[in-house]
Amino acid sequence: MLKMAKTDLDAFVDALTEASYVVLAPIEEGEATKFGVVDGERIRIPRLSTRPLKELFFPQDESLLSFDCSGTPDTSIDMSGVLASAGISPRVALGVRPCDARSLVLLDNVFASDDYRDPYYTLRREKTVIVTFACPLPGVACFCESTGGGPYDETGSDVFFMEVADSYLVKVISEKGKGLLQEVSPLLEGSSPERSCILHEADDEDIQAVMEAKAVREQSVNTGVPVEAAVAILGQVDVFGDSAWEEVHKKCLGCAVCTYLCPTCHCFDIGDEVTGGSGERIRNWDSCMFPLFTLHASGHNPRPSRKERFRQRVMHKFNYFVENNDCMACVGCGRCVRNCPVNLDIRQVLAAFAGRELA
Amino acid sequence: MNKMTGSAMGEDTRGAIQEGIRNSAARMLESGEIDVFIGYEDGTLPLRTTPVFITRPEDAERLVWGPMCENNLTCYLPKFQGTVGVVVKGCDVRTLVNLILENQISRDKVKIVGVPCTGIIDRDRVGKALGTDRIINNAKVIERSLMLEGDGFEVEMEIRDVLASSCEVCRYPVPVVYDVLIGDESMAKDGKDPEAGYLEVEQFAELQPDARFSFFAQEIEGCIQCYACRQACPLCYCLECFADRQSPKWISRWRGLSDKMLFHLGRVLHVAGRCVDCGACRRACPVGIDLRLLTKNMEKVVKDSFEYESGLDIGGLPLLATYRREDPDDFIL
Amino acid sequence: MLDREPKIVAFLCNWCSYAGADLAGTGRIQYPPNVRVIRVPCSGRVDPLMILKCLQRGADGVLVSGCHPGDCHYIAGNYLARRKFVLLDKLLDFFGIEKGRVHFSWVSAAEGEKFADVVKQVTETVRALGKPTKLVR
Repeated sequence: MLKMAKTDLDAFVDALTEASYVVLAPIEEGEATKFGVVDGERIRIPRLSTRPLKELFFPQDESLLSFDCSGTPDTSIDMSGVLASAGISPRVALGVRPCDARSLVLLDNVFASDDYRDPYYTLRREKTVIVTFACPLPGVACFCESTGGGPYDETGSDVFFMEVADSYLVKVISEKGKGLLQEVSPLLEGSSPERSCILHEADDEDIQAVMEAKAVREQSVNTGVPVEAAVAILGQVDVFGDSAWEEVHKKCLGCAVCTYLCPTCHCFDIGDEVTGGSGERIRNWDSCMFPLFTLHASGHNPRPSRKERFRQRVMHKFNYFVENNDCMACVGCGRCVRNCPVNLDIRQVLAAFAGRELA
Repeated sequence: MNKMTGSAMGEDTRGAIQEGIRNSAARMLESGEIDVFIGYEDGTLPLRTTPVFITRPEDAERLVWGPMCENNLTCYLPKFQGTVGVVVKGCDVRTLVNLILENQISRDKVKIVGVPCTGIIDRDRVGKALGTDRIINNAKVIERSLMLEGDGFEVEMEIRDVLASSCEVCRYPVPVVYDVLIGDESMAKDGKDPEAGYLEVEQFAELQPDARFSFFAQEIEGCIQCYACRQACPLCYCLECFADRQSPKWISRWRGLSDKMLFHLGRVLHVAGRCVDCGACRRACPVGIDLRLLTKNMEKVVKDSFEYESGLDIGGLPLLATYRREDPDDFIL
Repeated sequence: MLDREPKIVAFLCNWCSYAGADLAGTGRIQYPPNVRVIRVPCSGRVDPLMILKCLQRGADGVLVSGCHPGDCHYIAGNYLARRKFVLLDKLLDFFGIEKGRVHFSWVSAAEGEKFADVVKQVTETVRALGKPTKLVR
């Protein structure tokens, strides 16, 4: 375990930049925060960025290929340029919170599994080192512990920063993280004494202190959400037609705040944007909360009302995904809870189902 | 009904209004006048209430009232069959009037429980006043103050300092139409300054066009096209929104600043002369885009050009379903 | 100043302005060839979104022309259109889109001369504004 002063963080970032990494950290965009490129500005890590980490790997919209069928009779399709641009230079995502880091492992099930490896996603994933910061006191909407994570959960991280008084303890989690620190170590001295970072071994006292902080924080997360029980109930065959759906969906407005801000929601749409014979094939986020998501060309919609759409969201996260990947598609980050315009709280929905009798 | 003395919105008044809402709901459900009552109950987060649909008189106890009752509940009305009772603030009832004018609901299918409104709390503003990233564990409204408890702090704020911007300049805090009015009209006039309503718009209009455009470009750039603004708006009830049309496709979800702008311009045009500045779109936006500037300006344009104010006249016609010969013509070649 | 010929989309009402354009043609009145005419049943048919879409997809300017007030084939289509155009005009201005991209006119079937004048005026205004950058995709 290593240790550095909190005030040295900016110098640490300088060193990353000098080692030719693109540093992605929470930046402000209007009133929201999201992961974006930082270059020289001070790093300020919010409790949790408004927008999820997933967009670094699975952006809201991206071009998959470009084509031109305007000139010759042949249609030319060009994937190389697009893949290269998705290829990018090595990156570091810095200031990630454990819930977001964990979401990547869940997303890997979809985009980087044995069945299918999405070239765009995997390329970005391979090129990115995840530097996670243990969570400060979790917010009232957080329920990471209930979904198997926690404020000190290291799943999905390559390097893990933990706060102790005026310092960070730095723990290397993966080979990728080890490589990063090795690469960056010679550059930590920086351009001036003010802008340099000293990274040294932590002593037993520091480690003791971090364990204590960890215990306190883990206790303060809401562990009372009966996620496991709900998953068991939602796994039953007859739950699909349950009358409870009628009640729990009622106040849903049908917007996509919950799905778009969710770090694990990964549904997308693919379409062609064509102007005069040439164009690009694009992939963009889609949301099961929109009627258009399931609308057939015939006009028939198998999920005609908000009830079916809301059910889909809950079932996908806590049943279908579990069946397919042995884990639920939720990390308990609380973004959907915090940002829902009508305070439709997924925790209450889970509790409503958990309270039902197992058949 | 409870008559109050003085203009202060004290604890007793609020309690009395809450009691009044509960009683009305229970009475109407019991008598079979309504099939469902839409109101607010306590939310799961501090500073929040959440919409609730009450069908049994005994559940009316769940209903609450206070400056955290932020949602415009009339957005649920077109969905319901049968007769519905609903709690409305001054702004909410004006969207309701528009829904009636536009034949989305029928007046005899809705029982309007109006409450003179003293304004609702803007959660973002509270967060900013407190300093970002502080955790509020508990929020209580006491008299005219908001008491906040969190990670090692206890802060008291004046509610009037953290009101939603639309409430600060509200012209019609007292519902213009109702079946039952709960509370005293005089208290709603407390501390509001409707004359200042267009100040922001006027100041903004004085900027250079390029500066105005850059401002909107920057705001709209952050739009994630979740359409929460549309969904939260009671007047965005189209079965198929132009933004969802596939043929012709008006709005692409690709590389979108221009498409996002088109969406927001289109939306503002669609609610022009109908928008009542309830602020639901602004509150729903998860990335805090200031949509109110556009809608508020439109409200001013409508007022200046057509002497029309939306949602006041239940016997009138919608702005764009009628005309006057002397409407502005000077911009036409 | 635009260094190429401006492209202007003109929505012309079937009953007046389109006939006015026709009259300009049969009367051999010269006007700039910069307008691409789209015939619509009535100026009331023109959805403001259509105008925005034109600007987005690269039109340098848009002209909407209908019957004079009182002359609408459908009695009030142009009156209703006028209200929408007021809103659009003010909205675009507030949004920071340069004035002069979008024009409205009343041209009757007898006003071939006026049609030519309107097109000249619109073309020159749009040309002077230069390349559009603001709503263009």
